[in-house]
Amino acid sequence: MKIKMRFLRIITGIGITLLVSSCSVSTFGKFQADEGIPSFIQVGKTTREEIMTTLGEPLVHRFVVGKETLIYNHERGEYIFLYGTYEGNELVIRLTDQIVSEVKLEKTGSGWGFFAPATSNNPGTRRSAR
Amino acid sequence: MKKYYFLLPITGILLFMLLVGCAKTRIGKVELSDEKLPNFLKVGTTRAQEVLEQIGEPFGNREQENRSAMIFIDFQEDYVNLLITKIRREKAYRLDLVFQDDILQKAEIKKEGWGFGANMDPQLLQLLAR
Repeated sequence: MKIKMRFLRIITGIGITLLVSSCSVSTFGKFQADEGIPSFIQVGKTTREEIMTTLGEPLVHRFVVGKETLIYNHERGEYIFLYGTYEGNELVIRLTDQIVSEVKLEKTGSGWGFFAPATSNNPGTRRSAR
Repeated sequence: MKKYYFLLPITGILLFMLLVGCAKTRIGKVELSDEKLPNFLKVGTTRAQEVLEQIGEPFGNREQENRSAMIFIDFQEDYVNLLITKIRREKAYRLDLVFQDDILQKAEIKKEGWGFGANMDPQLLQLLAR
């Protein structure tokens, strides 16, 4: 009887662990938003060529208010145990004569989930729709 | 029988964890759910550069000669799971700004979609910016 009881406890313990343990991390993008603006980018010095070589092709390359603009995004969704988060950021680089004239990091979205992943915990689907 | 009582609180906790959940996600750089234009936007005076400074990089942008258009989106998603009831509420708004010679000529907010208990089509959200 004692052995049966012990067996039951072990099975219950494993079952609970499996039921409540789940985790996932999804990322999308070519730079790390949590590290801030990449250190190699310097206003007035860095060229478009250097950016393209280091970060690769941008998600968006267009002219905004007459200035050449490169946009790289980074999205990250995490779900660990009981709590999930989502955060989206984009790196906006403006160029004048192929040299960086402005660079900024902008937040594009955020989310959380309790006992559930953040509802849009799937980077690269709708938020990257540019 | 008494020996199995230890299972009751564990079962209770597990049921609670499995049967409840909530999540909230927001995507966009400007709050549009009240369907009111941001205060600083004034037709005939606001410049495109001011919009970039106040709100940030637009989701969609198009320039043609001396006319340009910017599109900003605001997507909100709430999810609640309580016992067997799952409620998913989604709202999407779009802010269209049209500029002539870099001066705001038209500004309007459109409610582009909603969902209750069912997802909005991510493909449709992508089309918002086209």
